[in-house]
Amino acid sequence: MKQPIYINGLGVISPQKTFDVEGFLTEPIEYHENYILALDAAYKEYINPVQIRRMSRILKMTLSAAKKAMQDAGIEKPDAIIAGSGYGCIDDTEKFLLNMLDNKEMMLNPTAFMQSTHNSVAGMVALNVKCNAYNFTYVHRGFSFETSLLDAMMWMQEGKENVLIGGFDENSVNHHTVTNKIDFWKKEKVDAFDLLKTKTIGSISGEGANFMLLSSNKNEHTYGEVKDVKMCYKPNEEELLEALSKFLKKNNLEIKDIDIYLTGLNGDVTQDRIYYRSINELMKDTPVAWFKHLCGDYYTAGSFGLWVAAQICKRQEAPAILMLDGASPKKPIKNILLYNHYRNINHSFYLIQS
Amino acid sequence: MEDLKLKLKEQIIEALNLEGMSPAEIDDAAPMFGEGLGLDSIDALELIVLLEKNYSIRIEDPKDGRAIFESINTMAAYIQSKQIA
Repeated sequence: MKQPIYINGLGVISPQKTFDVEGFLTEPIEYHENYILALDAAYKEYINPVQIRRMSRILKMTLSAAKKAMQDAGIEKPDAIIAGSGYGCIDDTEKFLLNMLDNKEMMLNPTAFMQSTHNSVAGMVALNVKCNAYNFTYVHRGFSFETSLLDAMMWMQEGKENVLIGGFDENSVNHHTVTNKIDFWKKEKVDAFDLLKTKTIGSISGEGANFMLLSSNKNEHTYGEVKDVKMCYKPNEEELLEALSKFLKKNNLEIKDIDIYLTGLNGDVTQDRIYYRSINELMKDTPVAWFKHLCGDYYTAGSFGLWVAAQICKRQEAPAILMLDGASPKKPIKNILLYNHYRNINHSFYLIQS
Repeated sequence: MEDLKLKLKEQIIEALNLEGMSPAEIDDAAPMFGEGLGLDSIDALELIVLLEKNYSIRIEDPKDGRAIFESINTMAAYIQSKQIA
C-alpha cells in the first residue's frame, strides 16, 4: 500500500509576511520593482548568536525557516534533510569570485568560500539539529525543489517517517544584472499585482526560503497531503496536455474534481502563452489562483506555491489576492492542482489534497 | 600605537562581523581566542587575510599566529615591528 505523505510543518521566509504570523496573506505587500527581496525575520530567535555572525543572509533565512518548519510539526530531528536550490548561496559565491579577481587569487576569505557551496544550507541545518541522517541537495535549475520533493516521497515509501525538505534561492545584484541583459526580467517598472496585465517580456525576480516537514503521520499539525508530483522538461502543448491527463488519471481524478487550479504564471508574455492556450482552456470551469505576484519568480518558486496550497488546504480558504478572476472556490476545498513552470522550460504538476 | 590599536579593532569588528560590538568593548590585553573575544580557527584565517590585505604583512609560518594573535596588544606590536623593519 502506498504510504500517504502529509505536510505537517511549514517555515517560509518570503517577500510577504509569511513567517511568525498567524494570518494567511492577510496583509499582502505589493512591490513595484523587478527585483524583490524577502522580509528578514528575527533570526536571533532561531540561531545561536555566536554562530549567526558568520552566516550569510541566505543561511540565516534557510536555517530559521527549517527550524520553524520542524517546530511547527513538533519534530526535533528529521529522518532526512533534502534541499533544492537553483542558485545556491550565490551571494557568497559572487563575493568569493570577486575577491579572487580583485586580489589576483591571493588573500581569499575562508568564510565566503565555505558558505558558497549549494549544500551549505542542508549541512548547516543538519549540524544545527545534530542530524546524521540522509542529507542531500538537488541543483536542477527549475526542477531543484520538485526533485527534492520526489526524493523525499520515495524515501518515505521506504519507511522514513519525517523528512525535512526545502526550496531556497536568493537574489543577488550581479546575477540580476546579468540575467536582466538576457531578458529574464521586465525592463519597465511594474506593479506586481498587475503582472499579468503587462503583456511584455520578462518577469519579476524574487527569492525565498521555503521549508516543510513531510510526515507519514497525520495529526493535529497536518496541513494537507501531497498526493503526487510530476515534472515535464520542455514539453510542447500536446505533451503537456497528455502529461496532465495521465497525472490526473493516475490519481483517479478528473478535471471536474479539481477545486483550485494554482498556477505559476510569471507575467512573461512569451512564456505564459502555453498556459493560456492549452491548460487554461481545459480548466475553464475551475477557479484559478496564482502566486508569483507575491514572491517573484525564481528556480524554486514552486516551493512557495506548495506553501500556498498547504495553507489553503488547512484553512479551507483562499485569500482574494490569490484568485485570478475573483471567483471564490467552492467548499470544501479538497483537491488543488499546482501547475508551475520556470521560464517555460521546467514544467511541474503537484497534487495536494486536504 | 593607540591609533593603530583602535584602527585594528575597527578592522577586526568589520572582518569578523562582530555585530553590536564597539572598539571600546575590546580589551587590549584580553585573549582573542577561547575566552575574551571567543574567536575560533576560522577567525584566525580571517585575521591572517586581514593582516595581508591591510598591512601587507604575510605570516609565513601559521604556528607564529598563536603568539601574534594572542591579544590586540600583541597584534599591534607585531604590525608595528614589521612596519619599522
